[in-house]
Amino acid sequence: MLLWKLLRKNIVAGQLAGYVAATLLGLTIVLLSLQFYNDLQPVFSAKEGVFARDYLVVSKKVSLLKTLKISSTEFSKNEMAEVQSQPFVKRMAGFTAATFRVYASTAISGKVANFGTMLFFESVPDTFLDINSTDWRWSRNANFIPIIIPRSYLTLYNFGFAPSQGLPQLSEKTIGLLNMNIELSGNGKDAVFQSRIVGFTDRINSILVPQEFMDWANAQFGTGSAQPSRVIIEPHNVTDPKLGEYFASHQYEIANDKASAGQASSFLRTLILIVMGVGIIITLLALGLMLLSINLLIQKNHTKIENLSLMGFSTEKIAKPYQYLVVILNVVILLIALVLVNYFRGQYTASFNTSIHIDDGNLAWNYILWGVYIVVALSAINIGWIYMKVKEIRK
Amino acid sequence: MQTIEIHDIVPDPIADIASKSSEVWFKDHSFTRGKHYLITAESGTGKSSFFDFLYGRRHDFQGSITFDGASLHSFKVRDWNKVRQHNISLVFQGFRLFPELTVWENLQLKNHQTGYLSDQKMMQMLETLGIPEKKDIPLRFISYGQQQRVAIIRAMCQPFDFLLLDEPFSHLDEVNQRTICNMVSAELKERGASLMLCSLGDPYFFEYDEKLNM
Repeated sequence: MLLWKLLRKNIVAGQLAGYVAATLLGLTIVLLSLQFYNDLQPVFSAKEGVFARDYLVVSKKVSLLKTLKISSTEFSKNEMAEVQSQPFVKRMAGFTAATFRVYASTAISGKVANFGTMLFFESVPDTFLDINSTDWRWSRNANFIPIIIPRSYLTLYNFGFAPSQGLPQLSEKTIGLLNMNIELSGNGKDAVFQSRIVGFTDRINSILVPQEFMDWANAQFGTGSAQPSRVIIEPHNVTDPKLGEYFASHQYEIANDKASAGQASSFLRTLILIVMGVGIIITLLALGLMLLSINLLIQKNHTKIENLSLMGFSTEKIAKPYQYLVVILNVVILLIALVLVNYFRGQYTASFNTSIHIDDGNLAWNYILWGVYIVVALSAINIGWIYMKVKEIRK
Repeated sequence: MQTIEIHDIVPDPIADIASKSSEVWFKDHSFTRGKHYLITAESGTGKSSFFDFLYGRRHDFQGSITFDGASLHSFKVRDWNKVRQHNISLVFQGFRLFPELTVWENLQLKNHQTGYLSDQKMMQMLETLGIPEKKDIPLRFISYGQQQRVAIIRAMCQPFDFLLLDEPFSHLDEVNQRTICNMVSAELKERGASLMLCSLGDPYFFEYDEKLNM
């Protein structure tokens, strides 16, 4: 206590405040960007099949020649093999199109209107889907077909069709409860199935049924086998520029521009890294400021430190009050930074709520742990520096 | 610590000009615990340097000094801390007290290292030297002579085998000098410690076993 009373003289509150403010700023930026990165991790590395950024749906451009059926939009076996052999392709599969007629009908509850329409089905192998729903299953005996539709169709219905026809708007949940009758016909046969929408996709612009069902139905009602006109591709790296070049040179189109989504996410990642870098630089500058302040402080207390060492005080003991000071400051900085990070996280979570789902439970110990690491490192440098400077005076 | 031995020492800065007739420089001598030594010296002959060597403040000397046979050249910071806390007490010229602390805090700071004196004993010393009422006054507000007395009491706030006094009573009148000498003598006797006193010539009120001329 006496040592502290003696050594606290010449401490400049302004310098300490500057250090606290600058370190707080740097640390908050670093931790916030870490946390932000962590929160967006599912978006960056989603593996939920078609929802993932890593899948591309590729088709041929429709031209007049193709409309006139002089050339085809189908991918031939050779073309498929060529795409497959490209170095950027991890795996791929063709869409299977239904070669039979589909008619869907329903009675929307509350309205006595019968609602029916011609439809089409496509399918891709389940491994490109990873749909979690237990409903995404077809068996020959069940007489039930699960369906996945693009989310945009629902939007189209809710905000375009339904209001204009006086029909009720439907949420994803409600529409999932809606039972439909599906009539299949072709090849001189027909059959009626029960059906429900079990999922939505942002990525594949098609109405999907399980591959197994499609294979069976094509065999039953199909009129001739068809080559796929669309393929789904999982590239090694969606931002690979060779990928875009290849498709452009073959006049293939990438649906929904997933490549640019991939680029956007890699841009966002870079941006976060830059922000984090700025945070680190600020933290380092703050550290430099503190080291200089410590230097100045110890120089100002030069005589006292010299006298204390002549009294037989060890370097450790003389350094300790200053070391405690910086450690306490650093802990305070950490606590405030954690509160700030938590606050800002709440802010961005709320503002992204509509576009990106951020898991609240994912409030990672991650950034707390990183904060602890950084503060421990800062403290260690400060402690070492103080010891060194006090020791210099003893010489 | 029982003995301090010097062997052919001389401070580097005055190695060429130091008098060969000095009884300290260029000589072998042994200082034994319990005995009292008076070292008289004229200004500039290096008496403060001698104490600085013994206290580890300076190391720029030729020859060797040993504490119980251990050469000072091999001493580390840690060793000096131990010596300064337990074996040698020095009253500096200029005292090296802390002006921002009170008289009492200055004493406590030293005494806390070893807890050698009781509060009661320290208070008693302040009373003996006539400054008990200054106890809680910041040191910068008391006179030079009073500070000198505080410095001497502080030197008592630790165990020691050798007490080094460098021109200790220059700012005190004879009555005060006598009081202090009596108190210090009693302490030396009680601890069985040595006194090494550097002076321009004044022996003050101590008895000596040996007198050396620097």
